[in-house]
Amino acid sequence: MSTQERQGTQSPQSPDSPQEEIYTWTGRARRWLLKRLPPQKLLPQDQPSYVSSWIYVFGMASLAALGVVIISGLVLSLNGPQWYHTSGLGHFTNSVHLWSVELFFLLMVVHLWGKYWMAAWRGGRVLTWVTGVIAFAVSIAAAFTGYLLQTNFDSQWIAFEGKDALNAVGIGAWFDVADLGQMFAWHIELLPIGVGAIVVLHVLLVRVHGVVPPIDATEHPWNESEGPR
Amino acid sequence: MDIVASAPGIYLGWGAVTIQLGHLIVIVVMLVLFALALLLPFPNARRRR
Repeated sequence: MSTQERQGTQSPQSPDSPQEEIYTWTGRARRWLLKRLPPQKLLPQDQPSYVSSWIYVFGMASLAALGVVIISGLVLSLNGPQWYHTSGLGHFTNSVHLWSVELFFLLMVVHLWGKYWMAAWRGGRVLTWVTGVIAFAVSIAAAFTGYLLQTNFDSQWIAFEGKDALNAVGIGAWFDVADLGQMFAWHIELLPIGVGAIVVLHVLLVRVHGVVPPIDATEHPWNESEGPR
Repeated sequence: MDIVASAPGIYLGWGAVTIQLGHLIVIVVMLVLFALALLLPFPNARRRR
């Protein structure tokens, strides 16, 4: 095949190109995704000027803290309790995991306050707000199961205080805080997948609708129709 | 470890309100960060529009 022919067969076509006939669900999905979230919106080079404020930093700072939580958690889970309860490096990694969680919640709460007081659900951003609320709630459950895995008197106290409440609402059988193995599964598999998925969706929705402007600023056209440049 | 496990913690109380010192510190830090984020000027980044 000549170079020209190869270029011809590989020439990219825009999703709205009249030459391309969309006849499968994958084609329709691609067209819908590219329309909602074109690459320029997914990875913009610039942001509107109102983003140059410290209050807009806390969302990204929360993500950075979550990154440290996940990496330190992976190291802990791969090495196991024998390692992080007995060795110096294990204790250190355990502490990094705890304090990055503390920082994650601290930054997330300031992010929440900032978005609440600027009514960040404006301009079709309701789902962005709702996914943020769910991310906060699932993070609390993930942190709670983490406290249970300390395997000390503190965690025993927390478990048996919480057990009555969880039994009272009828979920004690599936969320048994006194079952260490089950809590390990919730803490290192199910809840991290839940937090990760909802946070990814939250960030993608921020990219789709753009960063919310302050109340006294007008909606930037990038956020609406033109897309960022 | 032993110190952390056996420490009862410092509790502050005003009437019906009781709060552990650590929790109070975290809440105050969050409030201070929120206020500073609104008041402090943001450094001018390169090619901001």
